[in-house]
Amino acid sequence: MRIFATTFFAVALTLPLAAQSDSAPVWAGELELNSSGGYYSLNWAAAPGSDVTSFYLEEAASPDFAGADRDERRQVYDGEDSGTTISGKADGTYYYRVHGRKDDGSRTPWSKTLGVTVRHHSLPRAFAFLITGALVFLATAVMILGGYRRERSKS
Amino acid sequence: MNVNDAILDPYLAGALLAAFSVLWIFLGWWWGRGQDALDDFMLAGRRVGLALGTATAMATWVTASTTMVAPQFAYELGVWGMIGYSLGSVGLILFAPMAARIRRLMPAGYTSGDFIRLRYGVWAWRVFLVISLVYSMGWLVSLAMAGGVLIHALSGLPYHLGMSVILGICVIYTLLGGLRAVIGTDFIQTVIIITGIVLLGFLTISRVGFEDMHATLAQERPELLNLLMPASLMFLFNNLLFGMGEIFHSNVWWSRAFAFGEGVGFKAYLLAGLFWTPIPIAAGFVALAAPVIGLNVPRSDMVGPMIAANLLGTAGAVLVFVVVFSALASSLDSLLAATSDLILEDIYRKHLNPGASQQHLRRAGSVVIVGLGLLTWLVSLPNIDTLGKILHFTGSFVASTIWPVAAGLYWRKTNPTGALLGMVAGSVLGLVVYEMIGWYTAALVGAVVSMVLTVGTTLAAPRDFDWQDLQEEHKA
Repeated sequence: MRIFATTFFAVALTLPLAAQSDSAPVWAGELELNSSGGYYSLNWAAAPGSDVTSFYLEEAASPDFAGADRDERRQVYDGEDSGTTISGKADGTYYYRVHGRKDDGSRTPWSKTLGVTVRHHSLPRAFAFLITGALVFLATAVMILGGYRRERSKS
Repeated sequence: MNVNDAILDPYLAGALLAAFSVLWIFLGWWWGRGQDALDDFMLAGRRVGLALGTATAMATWVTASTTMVAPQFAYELGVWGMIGYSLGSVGLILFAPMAARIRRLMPAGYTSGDFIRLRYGVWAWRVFLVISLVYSMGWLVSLAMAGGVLIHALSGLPYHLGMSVILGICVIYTLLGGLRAVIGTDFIQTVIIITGIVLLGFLTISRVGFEDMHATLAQERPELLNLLMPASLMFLFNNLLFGMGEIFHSNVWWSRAFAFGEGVGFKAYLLAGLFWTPIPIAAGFVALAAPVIGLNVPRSDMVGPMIAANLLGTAGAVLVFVVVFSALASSLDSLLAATSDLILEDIYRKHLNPGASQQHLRRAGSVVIVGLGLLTWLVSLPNIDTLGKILHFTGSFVASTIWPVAAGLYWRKTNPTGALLGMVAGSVLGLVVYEMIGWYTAALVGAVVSMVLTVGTTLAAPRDFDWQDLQEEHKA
């Protein structure tokens, strides 16, 4: 009984510490993001009490990282920063996960999976804005340059 | 913030900051000596020549936006982001004929607010003041934040420290020197900025190369090379109209039009616009090297300084620091001076203390500058978003003033109520699309709505105006 109690308390006291230092990094913000411009920022932090010194960020086309083979996963970042900005993405959904690394080379578990859906504006909408902007600019330029010419011809 | 892998030693960054601070404050004191008259302090005696005029226009327009936001937009929106940013020069070029007309119509004018009040009446003037102040605060905050972001990106020093020091230095030397110091330091800053950006662009090409850049971007970030990327197409004329709105309404540019000597304004603004055009392209181009060298960019407005530091080591970090500090200082001081002029003339003297003497106004101007600096500091502390997004929040406001200002200068029959409605409706609807569609649409919508209302009401109900009513004398 005494041995059981001693073992129990030893495990109970050390388990939180072990769990804290091995906890996965956490994402800052939502786990589902949307982007209409093909760019977005991902930010993460080490778990409280963690002694992580660097992070490894991975991207895949499916949320099931465990099922995807190596070729379908892409290293996005490996270093000390706790954020990154990704840009130039085409339409689609991209999944990310991050784990921390300590000085002794050991690593934490993977974070929760974060998904980003990129859906660009339609081309008709884009051209509507482009053409409208061009017309407003031309009208303004014509007014100013016309006024300038009238002034010069008077003087 | 989250840069833990900075390249510049914090002590070196601190030393650079201290050295430039001393230099700028000394220049502010040197040029500010003997400026007791209000015209001297606010408008540099209305005698600025062509060389200084061109330099100040260009240096003021090369803001932290040019050196940090141009790379940000290239990194986010690709090729059109970079080229679209350079369309900001169109506003400067089109302001050239306007500057000459402003000087001719209002030889004794002080502010853009004076023009709107005399042209359209009190209520349009008050709306215009709100727009001006929103824009001024947005720009001031983006500049102050840029200082903090720059120092943090290069050295890892806390954002709040860099932001506070740079803002504090600019407040001090603007306080000491007024517009003459602002313009004098602009000339030095212009030389530094042009030299630095050209050097950086050249070194980036030689170290990275076009082929590697294209191959990497095509593989990892294909949309950055896509000339039909929708967001970047929508950004093009939005940015052009945003630039026009900024320049057409802001007292930063009107105060220079009043300060330049006779006949200088047209040439100064035209040359400044032409010389400025390639700068954001060079600055933006640098950002596209980030994926090639595998550089991690935690926040997109950091990409410019980080690239320079990474490619060129400590020397590059120092170069970027000098260039961006110069750009920041050259714009912060102009904006502080011009905004304080607007508050002093249009709010304090016209609304609160019409009998104020010139000496009293001179002292009040100093109080306003300090107050603006403090308010900017408080708003900049939380570091809420990227520089580009904060700046473009003001897009709908400023773009809504394009047609009221331009039509007010050139058309004798512009309807004042239409101009007022245009500014209000343009600002509101622009803000709506900022939230619902994207930041890269607000200025365009603001300009369209304002144009339709200004032109429509003028065609339906033209109102005659006598240009002589713009001639207003100020007490000596």
